Amino acid sequence: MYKLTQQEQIALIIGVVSVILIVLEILFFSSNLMAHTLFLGGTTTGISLLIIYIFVIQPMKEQQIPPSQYNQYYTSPSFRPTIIPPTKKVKKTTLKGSCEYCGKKELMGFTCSYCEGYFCTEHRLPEKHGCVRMKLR
Amino acid sequence: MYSFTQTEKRDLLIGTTIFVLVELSIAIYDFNTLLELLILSLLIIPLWFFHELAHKFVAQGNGLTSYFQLDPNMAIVSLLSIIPIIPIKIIAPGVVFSSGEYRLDTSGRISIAGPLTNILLGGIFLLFSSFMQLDWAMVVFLYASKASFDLALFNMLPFYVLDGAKVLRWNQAIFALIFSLVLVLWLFHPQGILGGIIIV
Repeated sequence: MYKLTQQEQIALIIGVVSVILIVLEILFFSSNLMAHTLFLGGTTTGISLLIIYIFVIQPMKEQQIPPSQYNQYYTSPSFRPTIIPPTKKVKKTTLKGSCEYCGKKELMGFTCSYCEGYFCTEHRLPEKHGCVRMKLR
Repeated sequence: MYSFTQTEKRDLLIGTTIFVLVELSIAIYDFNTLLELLILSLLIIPLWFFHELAHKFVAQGNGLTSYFQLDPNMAIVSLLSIIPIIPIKIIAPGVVFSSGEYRLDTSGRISIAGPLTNILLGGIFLLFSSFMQLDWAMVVFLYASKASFDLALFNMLPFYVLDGAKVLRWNQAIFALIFSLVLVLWLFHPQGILGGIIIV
């Protein structure tokens, strides 16, 4: 299981306290609609900003990937796939079938935009099913 | 820098249009004037658009190739939801694909970015609604915030390929926090199922 950092643990505690405060406010102090929406809106905005910063923006900053390398950088130097985004729409549409990679029967699976194969949720991405249309550098 | 392909821009435009039309097909029962529906449309455009962009930008910021793509099957299902008399609405015209090698926590962080954007927008709309002097304007903002929480809650369900399933695989405590936050906001929102019971 992923181990939370100290900052993430603190953010988690603040989040839990905020949820408890929101429930208490709703149960005991929500008779005034204006004050209620003000409290609910303020708390929600504050807590979501905190969670976004701690769990999403800060880890992104720590990776220190320069913006010029976005879309090019991969964590492992040995694996550098280049996928050409589809230029035309896939005509074949299927709602039911078996995954072409693992054989699992899947209702509402995914049709790969590159090789047009039908895959389960786990193998829907090109590199997960070893897409024949994916070029390796 | 953050980049878009031409196909992606077109797909995002189509997806946003479908989302707004489906939302309006529900809203026409609650609003009477064209002005109210017009303002509501402007408010709900960023709900879905920013949700998808948040996934894309966080993925790109983590070094992955990421782009939005319209799913033909789901786009048709979503288009059918525009018909006002259809009681169950499905709004999932496409999905953001992220490719590259990444860890479980990166996948979780990409997934929470979308619902968190909706929680943030819902909170901002709630704040705005409390400052509105006109009753109809307050109702429009409340409606937009409820739509935002609807979207966040649906995406946080821990099934299939929804964001909630990926966050749950990453960390149960983070999933529990975000899911409980959005569930409380959705249930006790002034226009929510239990909102009317509490506010007298």
